[in-house]
Amino acid sequence: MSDRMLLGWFVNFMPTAWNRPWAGPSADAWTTGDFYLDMARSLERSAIDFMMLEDSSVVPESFGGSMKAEFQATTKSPKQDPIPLAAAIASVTEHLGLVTTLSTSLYSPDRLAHVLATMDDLSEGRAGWNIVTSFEDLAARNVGLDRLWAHDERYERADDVLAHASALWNGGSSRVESDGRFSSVTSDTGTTTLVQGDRPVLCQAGGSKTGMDFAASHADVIVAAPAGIPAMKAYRDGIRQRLEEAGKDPDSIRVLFMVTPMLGETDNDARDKAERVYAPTGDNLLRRLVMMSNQFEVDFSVFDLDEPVPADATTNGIQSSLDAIKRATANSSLREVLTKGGQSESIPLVGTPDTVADRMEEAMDEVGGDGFLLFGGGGGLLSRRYLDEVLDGLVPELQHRGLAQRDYAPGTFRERLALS
Amino acid sequence: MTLAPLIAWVLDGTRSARETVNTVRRLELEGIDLAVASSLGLAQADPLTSFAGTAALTRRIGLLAGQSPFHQPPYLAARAFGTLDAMTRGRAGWLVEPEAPRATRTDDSGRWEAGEGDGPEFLRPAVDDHVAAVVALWDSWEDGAIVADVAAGQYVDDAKVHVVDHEGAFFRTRGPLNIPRSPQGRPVVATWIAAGAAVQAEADLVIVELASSVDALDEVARIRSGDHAAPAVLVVCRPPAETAVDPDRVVAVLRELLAASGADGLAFVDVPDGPVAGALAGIVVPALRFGLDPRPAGTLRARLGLDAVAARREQLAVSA
Repeated sequence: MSDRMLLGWFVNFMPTAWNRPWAGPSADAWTTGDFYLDMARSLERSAIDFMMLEDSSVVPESFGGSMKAEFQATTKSPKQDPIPLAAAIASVTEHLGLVTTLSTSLYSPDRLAHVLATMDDLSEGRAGWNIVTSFEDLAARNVGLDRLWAHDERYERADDVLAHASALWNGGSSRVESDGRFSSVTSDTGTTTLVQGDRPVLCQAGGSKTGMDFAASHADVIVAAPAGIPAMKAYRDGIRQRLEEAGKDPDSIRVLFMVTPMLGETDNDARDKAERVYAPTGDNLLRRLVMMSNQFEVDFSVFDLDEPVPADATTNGIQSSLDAIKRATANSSLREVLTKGGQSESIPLVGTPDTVADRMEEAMDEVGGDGFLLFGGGGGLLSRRYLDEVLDGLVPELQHRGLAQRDYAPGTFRERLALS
Repeated sequence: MTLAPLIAWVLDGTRSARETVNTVRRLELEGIDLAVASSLGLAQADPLTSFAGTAALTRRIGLLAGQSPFHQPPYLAARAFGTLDAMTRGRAGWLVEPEAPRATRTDDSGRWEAGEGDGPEFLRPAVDDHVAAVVALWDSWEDGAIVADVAAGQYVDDAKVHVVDHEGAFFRTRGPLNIPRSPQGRPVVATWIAAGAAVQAEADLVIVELASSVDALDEVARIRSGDHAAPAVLVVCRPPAETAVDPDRVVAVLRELLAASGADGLAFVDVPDGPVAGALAGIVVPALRFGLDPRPAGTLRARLGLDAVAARREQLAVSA
C-alpha cells in the first residue's frame, strides 16, 4: 500500500459563489460548465487523483412547502446534469480520474452501463461511478414513480442494478440476460469493452450500516465523514473487517474522508476566516434549516428557532430523525444546535498550509489511510479563490512532505489507485 | 439575398467516443453546420455523451444526438439535453429515434413499459407523450428565472419556476426541472423520416429521405404544412457508389436538388473517409455556399432559421 494519501475533490454542478466574497463577475456563468472545466485543469496540474461530480434530480419544497427557500439557499438546486460535464472534462484532461454520481433508483441499469462505458472510452480508462440510491419522493415523481423505496430496500435493488451493469460491461457482443430479485435487463449486446477491465472505479458514500455493507460488497473507493479521528479509525477498520469476513483483501478498498480545509497566511487568519464562514448568520442558518428539512423531510419553518423542537412535533418523513433533533435541542434551542453546525467534514482543518498538513499527516498516521476527499462547500459557496488556496497553498506542502503525489503514475484510474 | 444551404454530416456509428470527438472537431474546421449521430445501441458510444465530449473543443458546429424516447424517462432526457445546450451555448439538438436499438428492462414498478412490445398504433402516441413531457419540462423554467438578488438573498425567482404535473397515457413527471432554461429555450427537436411519413409533433427539424420517384417540392411543402410552426428541412444525400467523384457534377446535382425541393439544406450520410469525404467537405460544400449569404451565427436554432422559443405560458401548470 502506498505511503501517500489519495486526494479527490467533491463538487456539484451548481452555482458558484454569488453572494459571498470573491464571487466573480457573473452569477449564472456556471451553467456553461467553464468554471468546472477550469477547475478540472487546475486539479490535474496539482496531480489530484480524481474529481467527483455529485448529483440529484429534484427541487425540494420541504422548507415552507414551496421552492422559495431552496432557491435562496441553493442547497441542491439549480443543478445541471453531471454526465455532459464529465464528458467535456474527459476531453480536456489526460490523467484526472472522473467520478460521476448516478442514481440506481432513477436511471435504468442499461443507461447507467452505457453512459459509464462511453465515459471510460472518452477518458481512456479514467471513469468512475459514485453510486447513490436517492431518497427524495419528489425525485421519484420526476421519473414516473410515486415514491422511492425504503432505505434498505433501495440498497437491495441497487444490488440488482450492479449485477445488471456488470453483465452488460462484460457481455461483449453476446446477448445479455440479467435477472435480479426486483428487475431484469436483456440486451442484444453488452457495452463496448471497458479500458479498465470488468468495471469502472466504483465509489460509494457508505454512511449507514446497510450502506457500509453495500460499499464493502461493491465499492473500490468509499467516501465518508465520521466525526473525529477515533470515529474515522473505527469506520475504516470496520470496512476492512467486513472485507476480511467476506474473504476479501482489506487493501482492495480505499477509504477517503471528507474535509473542507480553511487556509490562511497565519493560523489566526485562518481561524478568523473559519469563524466568518461558519457564523450563524441568517443566510447560514437558513441554509442549514433547508438542508435539514430536505434531508429529514420535516418542515423546519414551522418551529420557533429559539425554542427546542416541540416534543409533540410529527412528520411524514423520518420520525426517528425528528426524534433525534428533539433530543439534541431539548435543553437548548434549534438556533443553538444549528449554530454549531454547517460543516460536513471528518476533522476541522484550519490554519496555515503547514498546520493543516500536520493535521492531515497525524490523521493518516492514526487512522492508517487512505486519504481525503476535499470539498469546497456545496451550491453557491465555491470560488476560484478557495480552489487556489488549497491547490497552490496546501497541496504543495503535502507534496513537499511526500504525502501527496507530484505527478501521476501511468495507467488507468483503477491501476493508479493501486487497488490490490 | 439567398441563404447558403445548411450542411449536416451524419457520423458513422462505428466510431469510438474519442474518434467521434476528433471527427466533430474536424467537421467544425471544415465548416460543417451540424454533426448528427444516431443511437445504435449499447455496443456503440452514447451519442449525447460523445457530443458532450466536444463541448469545450468546439464553438460553432451544431450537435444533434440521437436517442430513443424509450431509453430514459422524460425528466432525465430533458435534463441531459438542456445541460448539453447550456454547455455548448445553444448548439444542442435531440434526434428522436423511437426505433433505435435498446435494451429491454423491467421491474415491478412498470415505469419502463412504454414502447415495449407495443404495436405501431401505440408507438406513435407513446413517442408523442414522451416528447410532450420533455418539452413541458424544458418550459418549466421561464427566461430570467435566475435573478441573483443579493439584497434579498434570492438566487432564483421561484415565481418563474413551475411544477409541470404531466400525466400522459404513457409517461408521468411532476417537475420542475432542476436546471435553468437553456440558451435555446428548448434544444432543437429533430426527426428522420422517409418521404410521406408522419412528422413528429414538436419537430423543429426534419431530415427526409427522398425516393427518386418523389416530387421533392411537394414533399418539403407537405412537411412544412403541419399544425405547428414550420420545421427546417434537410434532404438526405448519400455519396455516389463510385469512388471517383467529379465534384463539379456533384455540385450541379445538389444545387438542382436544393432548388427543386426548396429544402433548407442537406444531410450527408454514409460518407466514406478519404477522397470522397475530402471532396465533399473541401470542394462541394464551399461551392454550394459560394455567392450566398452565410447562415446566421449563434445557436443551432438561429442557424436553422428558427427563433428561440419562449416558454409557452398556457402549458405551464399553475403552481401555488
